[in-house]
Amino acid sequence: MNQEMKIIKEVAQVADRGDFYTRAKTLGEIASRAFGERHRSQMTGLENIANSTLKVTDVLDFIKKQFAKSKHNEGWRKEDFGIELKKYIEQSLRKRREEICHVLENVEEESVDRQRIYLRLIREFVRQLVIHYEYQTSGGESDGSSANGASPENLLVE
Amino acid sequence: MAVVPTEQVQKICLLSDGELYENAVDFVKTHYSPKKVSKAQLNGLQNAVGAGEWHEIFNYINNRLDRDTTPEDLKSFYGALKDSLNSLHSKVQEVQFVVRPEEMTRTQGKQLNQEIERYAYLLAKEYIQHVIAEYNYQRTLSDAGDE
Repeated sequence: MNQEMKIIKEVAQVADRGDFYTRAKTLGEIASRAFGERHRSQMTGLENIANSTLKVTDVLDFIKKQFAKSKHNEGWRKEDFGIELKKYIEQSLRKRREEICHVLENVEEESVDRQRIYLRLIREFVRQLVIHYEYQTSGGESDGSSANGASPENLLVE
Repeated sequence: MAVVPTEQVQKICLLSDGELYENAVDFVKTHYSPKKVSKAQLNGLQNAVGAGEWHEIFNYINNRLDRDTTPEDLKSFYGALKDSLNSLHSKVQEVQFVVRPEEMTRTQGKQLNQEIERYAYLLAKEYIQHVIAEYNYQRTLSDAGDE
């Protein structure tokens, strides 16, 4: 199995463990209360940036920017949505990246592989968050697709 | 602007996610003065970055530093930013974006300096984007504390 396939497998396994699912669900539900149907573009924007960027910090800067644009107790500031999402990416997902690097053994410090693992974790987390947002916003009816049309198969596509 | 080779793009991405981001967050911690460094100031800086040239950013900063009417807090912010950007300029050769040969003609020297400025601009753009995002984020957090 080549390195890329190993990374995909490890990310998929990590995404099934611990608080990954529950945090995505909690934040997806907050996003639903914060943005509702009307501000769906916020979720599409988050998903687009996560899926297209080569840098983790583009996602973090996007969150900070949207947070700073939001009014008190609205949008990204509602129930600390932006703060909590940023914290989860910077702390929990970083820790999970380290776990994966430990399992894969030959991932060097400050390498492209290390960055790729982190980005894949973020993409998977955002994908799950957006699915929960969709589910909650549609009143419990969900077809499993996200605001951006992402699907579980997308995890396998660079 | 010319296309940047893939290997160089990877180097920029790694630097941006590592050292540049950490330094930008530290920079904001040290030079946080929301009343002096207004949103309008940061928008002006963002526009200077948008011009796409290293010297445009420097002209903008120097212009702020040279004005008699610029408050001291703001001068300190721009002075420190200028120092940070100068160290990014040195970094271009340090991390081998560009390798300086021992001997070269005048034309080659000129081309090399243009290359250095191009990479220095790309690093500066990343750094300043991180600084602006962090600054506005911290401003909103402190505003929330006041509300």
